[in-house]
Parts: sequence; structure tokens; C-alpha cells
Amino acid sequence: MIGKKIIQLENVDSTNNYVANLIQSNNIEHGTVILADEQTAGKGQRGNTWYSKPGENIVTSIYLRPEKLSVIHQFYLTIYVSISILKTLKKFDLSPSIKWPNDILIGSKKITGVLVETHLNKSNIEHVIIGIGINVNQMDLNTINGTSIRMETNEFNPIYTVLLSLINELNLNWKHITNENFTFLKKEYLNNLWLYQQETIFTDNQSEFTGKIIDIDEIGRLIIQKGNQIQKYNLKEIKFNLRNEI
Amino acid sequence: MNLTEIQDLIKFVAKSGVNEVEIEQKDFKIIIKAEQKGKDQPVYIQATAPVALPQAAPVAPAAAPVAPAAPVAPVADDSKYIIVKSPMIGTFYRSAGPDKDAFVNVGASISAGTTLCIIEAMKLFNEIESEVSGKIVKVLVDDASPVEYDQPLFLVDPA
Repeated sequence: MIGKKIIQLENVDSTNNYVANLIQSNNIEHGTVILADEQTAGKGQRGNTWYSKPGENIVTSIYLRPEKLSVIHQFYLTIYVSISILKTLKKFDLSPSIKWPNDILIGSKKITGVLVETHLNKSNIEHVIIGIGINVNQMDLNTINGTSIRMETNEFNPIYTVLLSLINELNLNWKHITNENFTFLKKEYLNNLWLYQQETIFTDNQSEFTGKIIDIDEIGRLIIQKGNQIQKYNLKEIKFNLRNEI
Repeated sequence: MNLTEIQDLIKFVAKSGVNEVEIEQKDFKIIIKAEQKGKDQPVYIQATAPVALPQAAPVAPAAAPVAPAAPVAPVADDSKYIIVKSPMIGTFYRSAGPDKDAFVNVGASISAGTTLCIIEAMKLFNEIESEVSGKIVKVLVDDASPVEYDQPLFLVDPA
């Protein structure tokens, strides 16, 4: 059961690090949730920092131990997390979409940050630390490309309302990972994928081109139709050419 | 937590569909249990104030998370070295962050369970551990380079 135990901290360097320390001291169970009012060294993607005003947003890490999940299916963890956040936000009257691979957008503005760290045991994923930041009540984000639930809806929501909804979604969707409902997960992901099946301008290492996202492959690469060609792209091999590139 | 906050929390738990929550703060712990079935079921709470802050329940430790990850293969013919290979397509990182020290350098002694590197695949960061004990002889890939499945990453002298 995810969220059966929630440890709330006033401040911490990073919630993902806090979980990593509990793992080291063998002091954590599957489903434990760490919630922090403030992170002093919040981790974003590789060296990026994630800043959130104390107490105004969700800053959380969740510890999961899949019973059996092969490393070749690891992209489904990203899908699982994205879908769970997306469904949570829908409950707060928002129309979110997933920006490949793992951002959640409202319109073209980013509302969440996700950092997933795994630990492998041979070819299986032994445990996962899912760090999630959701902008809830902060009104003055220091970027024009970001937004919060309150900025979008004018509603103030206590952190726990959003956190418990998120925990509920993480619980409901976890069975798709344990039952290996990968087809279902992928379908949900594509149905909510930003710019899916829409003519879009992209840039790859050669040039700017018009194409559309038609699928993702088993490791999460983007499959784009470019005229009558079909091409696969890994992270960093492709950019969305939009004025508000995030 | 004051009384209003507790009351709010109970409402959130009841609405969220989560059926049991234990929240631990610095000097406070509360357990809220909701009975599922109907919507307006009562919610039971149990709170323990200061002092009684039990350490996270001492669960029977499921096999300690030290097991190795990277596939290893002996190097052909007379070489005594072992090659540690990449278990996936991704980006190879030698440290936990750009400003951090490398997990291992040439000459470092490693044992089964030592973290060797991180491989990032689609924004998932995977810690790769050694399956063998020995010394790092060579790091075969530059930091932040792309790697393929089964690509050799390290040469290890198992001596």
C-alpha cells in the first residue's frame, strides 16, 4: 500500500536523498512517502536544481519495490508516474497533458517535475525512488514557462488534499505495473501525450522539419512520421520547436 | 498539528480514497483509518503526541539491497580481466552529479555491491553496481557519453 506511511519533514536537502539514506540504514518499506515543506538542495534532472517555496507546493519522494520488473520495461515506470500525476491534476479541474518523456503541462506550461532513480539487481529493478514536485499554491514562480494549480484555477488547495489524491492514483495504477498491463499503460500515455498525432515543427541534428508523433517504442523513444519516413528519436536527439520550449 | 488541521486531514483522507495513513512529523504522529465500502463511513483516528515517535517500524529486512546489477563477462583468451557491460541503452555517468566525485577511478578497489556508475535512460537514473570484487583497471567510456546495450564500461582485475 503506497502512502500508508507518510513522513513529513520541515526541511531536508532532497527528499530523494532522504529515501536513499533510509534505504542504506534498511529502515524503509515499500510505499513509504516523504513529504517536505522545504528542500534545501532539491534535485532536478542531472545537476538542475528544483526550487519550491516552503510549504506552498508538493515536494515528495515515494519509495517502491516492484516485485518483478525487468529493466527492459523501465519506461513503464515513467508512464506509471506520468499517468498518476495527470489523473490527480484532472481531479482539480485542470486539463493536463504529458510532454515526452515525463513532464506534465497545463497548456504549454510546466506544472510538475519528476526525478526517478532506480537501483538494479542484475536485470531487474530492485527499487525505485520517485521524486515528484507539483506546483500547488505558489503564485510567483521564477519562470514564465511554469504554472501552479492555484495560478490556473485561482483555488487554494491544502497540500494534503493534493498529496492524498496523488497517493490514491499511485495506488490505483500500481497494479498495471505489477500485472504488466503494458499495452494499457502505453495507450493511456499516448492518449494524453502532448502534440500526439499533430503536425508539429521539430529540430533534429540535421534540420528543422514538420512531422507528427505517432508512437513510442518499448524503451520510450519517440516515433515520428516525417513525410513518408518513420524515424525514432532518443532524448536529446530531438527538440520541439515552440516559442515556449521548456 | 492543531485540531483544525487534524479535522481537515481526516476529511482529505475520507475523500481521497486512501484507506489508511500514518503521518509522522518531528514530534507528532497520527494514524487515520477509513473504512472503505460507502462514501460517508466514519474515519478512525489515533494520534500519539510528543515523545512517542517510534522509529520507522522495524520491518523484517527484505534481502539487503546490495545485489549487483551489471552483467559481467570474462575477457577472451589469456586476459584475466573482467568486463563490466551496460545493461541498457542510455547515457553513462561516472558520478552522482556534475559537481560530485566519480564513484570509482582507475586503481580503486571494488567489491560486489559497489556503485560503479549511473546510466540514464529516458530521464530514469539507474545506479549500476558491481557483481565482482577486484580493482578498476580501466574506465572504457567517457563521462556523459551515450552507451549501447552490452557496451563494455569498465575493465576489472578480479585479483
